[in-house]
Amino acid sequence: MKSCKEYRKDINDLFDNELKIDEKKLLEEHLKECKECNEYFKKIKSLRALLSNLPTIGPSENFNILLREKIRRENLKQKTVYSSSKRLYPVFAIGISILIIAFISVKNINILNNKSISVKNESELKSTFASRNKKNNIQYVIEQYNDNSGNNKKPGKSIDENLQDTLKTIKNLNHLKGRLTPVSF
Amino acid sequence: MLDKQENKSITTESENSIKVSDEELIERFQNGDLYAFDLIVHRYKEPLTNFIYYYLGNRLDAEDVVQETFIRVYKKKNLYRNIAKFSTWIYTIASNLAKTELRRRKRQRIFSISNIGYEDKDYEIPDYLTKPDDIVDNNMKLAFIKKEIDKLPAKFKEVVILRDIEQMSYEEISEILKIPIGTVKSRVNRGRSRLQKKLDFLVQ
Repeated sequence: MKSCKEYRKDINDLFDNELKIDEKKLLEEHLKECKECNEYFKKIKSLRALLSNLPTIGPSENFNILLREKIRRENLKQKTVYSSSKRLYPVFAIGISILIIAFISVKNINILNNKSISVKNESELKSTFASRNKKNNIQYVIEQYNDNSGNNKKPGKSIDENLQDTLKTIKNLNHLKGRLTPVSF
Repeated sequence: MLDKQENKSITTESENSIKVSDEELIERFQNGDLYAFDLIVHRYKEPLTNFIYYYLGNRLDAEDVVQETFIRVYKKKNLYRNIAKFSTWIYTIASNLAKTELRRRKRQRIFSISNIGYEDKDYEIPDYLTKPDDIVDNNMKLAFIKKEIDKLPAKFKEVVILRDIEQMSYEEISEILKIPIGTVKSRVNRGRSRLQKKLDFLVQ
């Protein structure tokens, strides 16, 4: 035997066409006997009618115009984001170019700095320094130098010693002193 | 797109041609057919406005939410997958936006004392109307019903509107709100019972 609470659920199901035929018969029987449930049935029926007959509220007349405007703004926003990133392309390009140039320069400097000059004798050394420095005005690294005595002067960490030694050897090239800055030995 | 002349042609087309399914329209729109979007707007602007209007109780806010719903559809069209009904998808978007609006109002009420009662302004009714015997005019009756619907807790309000005003099935409501059918049923029952008590003098 169902309670009134359960029958009231059935009343809602009845209006929603969710009640089975046998349950519907039971409910009908109950409604004949129970005044309160019968009252509830009438009220829910009336409420449903009231709600389903409420006026339909549509959009205002300028709904489409407003929507079109909002979509246009949205599109513009998207384009702005796109075009602002597009406007940054030259900046990116310049930045990347600078980086590439800087990279190449550093590499070249390193190459130049590390470039060895192989000479067989003092005169060759003199001429090499003279010609290269006059042309390029760049720094050279002297890695190894055999002076006339046949002693092998190997590069070491004592820059001053080697430099002095080397510069003494090429004393005739005094005018190049300032430029002959060995970077590493 | 969406101007008056086109509106007429949309109306003519929708009246004369064989009805194209919503799912077909969104697919066409996903493939770049803007006219399909116009047809979607034409098809849904009224039912969505009606639903959100009764949910928020304010026409201006309802229209804003519905417009935002269409903008979301426009922007996120590719998120729709043809595994669910389009109507369910668009109602879910609208319903979520309406809930966000309600939360925003709640926050506003908390942080701004001066704004208390602002949302009720467009359908605020004078005190004497609360006496049932005085309610004779239909507009006043409507205002009273709207106010009582609006007073329902959101979880009851949304299901009652979708079921009894929008005439949706339990399955559809369940899909839109992402809750089990059993929960939809019980909320509808409880919502109706509460409303019936409030509108007792109108539902004799």
